[in-house]
Amino acid sequence: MLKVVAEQPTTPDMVGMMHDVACGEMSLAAVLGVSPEVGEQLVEQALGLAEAGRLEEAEALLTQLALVEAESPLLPMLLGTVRAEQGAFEAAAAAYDEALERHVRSAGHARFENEVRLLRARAHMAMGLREEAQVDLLLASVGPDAEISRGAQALLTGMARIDR
Amino acid sequence: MKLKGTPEAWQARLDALTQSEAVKAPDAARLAAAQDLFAAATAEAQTPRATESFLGAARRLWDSRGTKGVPSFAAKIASQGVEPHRERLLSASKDDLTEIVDQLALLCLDAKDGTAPLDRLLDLKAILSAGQDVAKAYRKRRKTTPAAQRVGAPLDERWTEILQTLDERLGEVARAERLATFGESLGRASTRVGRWSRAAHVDAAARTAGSIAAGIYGAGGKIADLTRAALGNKGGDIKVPGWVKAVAKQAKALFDKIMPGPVRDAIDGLTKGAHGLVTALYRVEEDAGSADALVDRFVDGLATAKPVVDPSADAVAIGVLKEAAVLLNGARGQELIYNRRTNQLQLNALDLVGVRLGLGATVRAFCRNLYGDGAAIAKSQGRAGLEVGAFIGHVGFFTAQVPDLPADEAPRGWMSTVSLGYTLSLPAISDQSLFALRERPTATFALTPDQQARIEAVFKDIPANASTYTDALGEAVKGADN
Repeated sequence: MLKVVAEQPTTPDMVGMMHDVACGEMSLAAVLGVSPEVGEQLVEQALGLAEAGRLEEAEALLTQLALVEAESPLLPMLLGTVRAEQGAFEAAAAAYDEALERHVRSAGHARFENEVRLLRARAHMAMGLREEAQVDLLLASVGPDAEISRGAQALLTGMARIDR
Repeated sequence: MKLKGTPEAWQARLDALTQSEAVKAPDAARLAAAQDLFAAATAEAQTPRATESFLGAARRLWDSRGTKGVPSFAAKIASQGVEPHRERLLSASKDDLTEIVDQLALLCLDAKDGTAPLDRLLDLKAILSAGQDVAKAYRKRRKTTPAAQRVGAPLDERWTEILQTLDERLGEVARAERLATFGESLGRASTRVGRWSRAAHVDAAARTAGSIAAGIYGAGGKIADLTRAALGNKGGDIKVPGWVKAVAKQAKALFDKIMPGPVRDAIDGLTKGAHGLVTALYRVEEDAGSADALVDRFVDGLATAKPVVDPSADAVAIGVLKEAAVLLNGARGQELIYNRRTNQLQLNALDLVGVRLGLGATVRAFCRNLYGDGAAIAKSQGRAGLEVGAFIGHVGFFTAQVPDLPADEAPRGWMSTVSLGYTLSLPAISDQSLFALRERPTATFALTPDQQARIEAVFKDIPANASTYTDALGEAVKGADN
């Protein structure tokens, strides 16, 4: 999608819009004319692809959607889960980082942050980054969502037992 | 909310998100070792969130975006306005609305220019009927959000408007809820009282509830004494706890504040009269052996009760009842009754049971006027009737219970009662109460002409305007059909 935009002949208006996008003054989705409904359908499609085992296609589509919906913390998080399913944990962690960054900027709900932290901790664990994982798990374990807290505490306990 | 920061920083983040090498799988051996650890840890941690598959988590989070994806929804409202989302907002749950408002408030506080989200919040306020959600969420967020502390700038003046409007709205809702609850309670109580009064005849109630009244009296009498002491009358040797006095003062201050002047004055007058009666009859049983002492007390009490004494009555009694009400009210007390036809002064011990919803203890001072045959009045063993009233004053109408005398031939009367003390009760229900009272004579004296003259002198002092009133009540009682 970005490529399509880049291949268009540039006009002064478009340069201005790209500047606004780069400065965060305008959503890329608005520039591209992607309505929220179309965006949602595309995400559904990406998740459908992933669930059908077509992880690469799903990952590519979600990457583009995460760029287009530049304000949504949910999309990079979904991207992270697909990458984790692929076994690409470093890339998943990068996507989770972006999700957290957007979440903090939009001052989202703590429940979402803890979801992301738990997922990122699992990616860190899978990469052998125990300390990083522990930090996320500790933060997630004191969050407002009881289920996430229990999950994070269980993982912390599991790691501690293995260490012993 | 758009991504912010310099174009370079933004580009770096895009690179991090899309870099091709990041998508590659890491070293296979390292990954295998880490995954063993991960598998072992998740095997230990058998909880749904710890072992959930990644795609499962993705699906769950995406599907729940309608409820949990509030930040993006709030952002949409902030950018698109309330109208396109009107239906969804109106059908949203209270929790969701609270979260949406929470997010909008955050957007306002966090953004350098919070005007747009603030406009949306005003729109939202306009379409939501339950305004307290907005107010609560905003207040909570204003107290707790670091964003508010970070910004540190004065809030837009329109916040004041929002809060004022919502406070008013909240007040209305609270009042409506209280009224509804009150109405509901009143309805239920009224039904119960209705059933009770139909099921149990007053006379039967008096017989069966004698022991209840006596039982209540054990505690109620003491409380009544305490109350009387707290009110400044003779407390005797009873030590009044400090809190009772403090609460009494607070309650008095509250009543002074909420009651209109004329009502307060009238109640003050009644209260003073009641205090006079209570003082006149304090421990009257100790003087049961002395006719002169009882006459002194009766004259003092009657002088206080003059406004509610009918000079044409055949007998007049003044008395005090110490009452404890725990739904059913019971009372015990004494009265001095002057029978003008038989020229006797009698001291009666009283036990009362009444159907009055309430909780608390009061001292009730009363004056009753009786009409009928003097001999029948002298043989009276009790009375039953109905009281109506408001605030602290009651008027009761009763028929005396005389052995071997049909009720339609028995003496009748009316009584005026003033309550002193604290009984929480339901207005309209408690102010109409059935009561049955048993009289037990403890001393009867035939009065000397001198003693009679002292008492009759009080009757002559009754103000003309007051006697017009009491005469009329007396005529009404005497002339009423059975």
